[in-house]
Amino acid sequence: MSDRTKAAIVGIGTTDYYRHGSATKTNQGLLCEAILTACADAGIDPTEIDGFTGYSEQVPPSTIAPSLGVKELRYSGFVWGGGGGGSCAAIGNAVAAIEAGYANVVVLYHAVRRVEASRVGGAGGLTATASPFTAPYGLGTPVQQFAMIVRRHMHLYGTTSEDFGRLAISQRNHALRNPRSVMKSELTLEDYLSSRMIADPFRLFDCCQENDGGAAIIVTSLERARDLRQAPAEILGVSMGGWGAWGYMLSDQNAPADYYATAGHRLIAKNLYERTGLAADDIDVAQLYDHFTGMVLLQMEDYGFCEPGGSGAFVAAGEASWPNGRIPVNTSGGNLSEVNLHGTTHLIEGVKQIRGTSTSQVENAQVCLVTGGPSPIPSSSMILGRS
Amino acid sequence: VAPQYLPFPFDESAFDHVSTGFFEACQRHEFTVQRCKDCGNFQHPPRAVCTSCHSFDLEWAGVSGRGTVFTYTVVHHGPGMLSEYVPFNIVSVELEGTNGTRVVSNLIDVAPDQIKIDMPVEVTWEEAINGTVVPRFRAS
Repeated sequence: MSDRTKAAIVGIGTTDYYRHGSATKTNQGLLCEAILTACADAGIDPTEIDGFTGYSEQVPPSTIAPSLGVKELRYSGFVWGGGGGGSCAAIGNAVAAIEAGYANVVVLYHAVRRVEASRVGGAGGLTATASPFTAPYGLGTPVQQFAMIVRRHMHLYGTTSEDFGRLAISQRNHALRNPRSVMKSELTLEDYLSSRMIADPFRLFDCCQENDGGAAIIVTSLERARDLRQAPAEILGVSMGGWGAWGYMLSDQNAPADYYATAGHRLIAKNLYERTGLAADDIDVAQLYDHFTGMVLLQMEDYGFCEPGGSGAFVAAGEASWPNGRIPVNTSGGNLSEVNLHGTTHLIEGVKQIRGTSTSQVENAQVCLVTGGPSPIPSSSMILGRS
Repeated sequence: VAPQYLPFPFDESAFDHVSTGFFEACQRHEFTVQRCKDCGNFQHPPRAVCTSCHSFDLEWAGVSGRGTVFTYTVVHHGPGMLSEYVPFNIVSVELEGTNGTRVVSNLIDVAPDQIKIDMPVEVTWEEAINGTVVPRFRAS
């Protein structure tokens, strides 16, 4: 029996998307622009906002609330962890706050201005997770950590570089239909295979972009949503967490062998499907967090699009590609080719698919899966639906 | 003293009471894994408590230092100060006699295209510039 939520996403907004380090506004400026755009989209007066929810964000509500003229803050909550793992969990916190009556209009906001951070280690050195048991061996960046998982998957199942390349190309093709995408040029398999290796098996085009920009998403009750400007994207269910042992996993590479070569989302998926009463067969379109191509394939397996080990064949058969694939994946272009704002844009593209306004619209899309990034726990996911 | 595969980026202040014993054993060229004296659980990296039975009574168990490659990557880009050492490999080694416990390290004296999952390896010892000894592995 499903237990669907009583909340919906009613407003979405972003700034322009910028290449790495090129935004001229401050984070506060990017955030206010994104939030005001989302409020206008929803038809909600910004002073009505009474809750903030966040993950991976530097700017606190104490900075944002006075800038927006918020009258009363009644809820604020934050998800542990870094990167994009907590994106859907932050929506889950908003849902919980609304259902508990703590707040009525909750905004998720996130801005990125990459002055020095880099997940492939171009400018940065060791990460916060560096320890005497990993850093002496050069292990410290996400591209290395996920490369080791995906290399094991290739060994177990025969997944190939061409499979990863086909996903990168599929997402680039989606991005080329989206005028907002940062990536504007065609990508061929030859381009992919000749791109330089970063951390084997990941090449340059397996890795997400690094961008600047801001995004905001407004959550309110289903009841309130009926009176607003947009058709609500109903939040059918949210799931956050993961295996306890996954907590050490990326830095120490020590998850049990029976679930090492996964995206760490199997339990998150199980909970999500139980809460929504839905199954993989019900998913019309999916926005799967893409820091690295291979981890998108592993999510397809964790969410049951195919059997474990079957994701290479799923992608090669075009099943993840718009318009004819069984479950088109990352229809805006994703982090790889649209923009990387830590997964906020996956939430926004999910809402667009439910509204019917994506530039690669899946015909009559009723159910959209959105995931946060495979990451140290908690990671998260959610399912959006049409009324 | 053999040249280092990669620099050791810590000084003694990085070691806490949980990790010190491992590096003290390394100084003696002994490969140890933390084992629970109550339930026999092996765990690495070491923790303050047994992750299986929650006992605080933990010991350093000597192991052979032999194992197999569980997975690996070959790094061609960065990070940071390591950019001058590329390409270098990172391996996860499953240690024999430890119920599948794995450690992160590097393989030395091997060409990148010769690294294979499941290949047998054994520990070798490298002295860092500051005197700290770290375990790396080579094909066996």
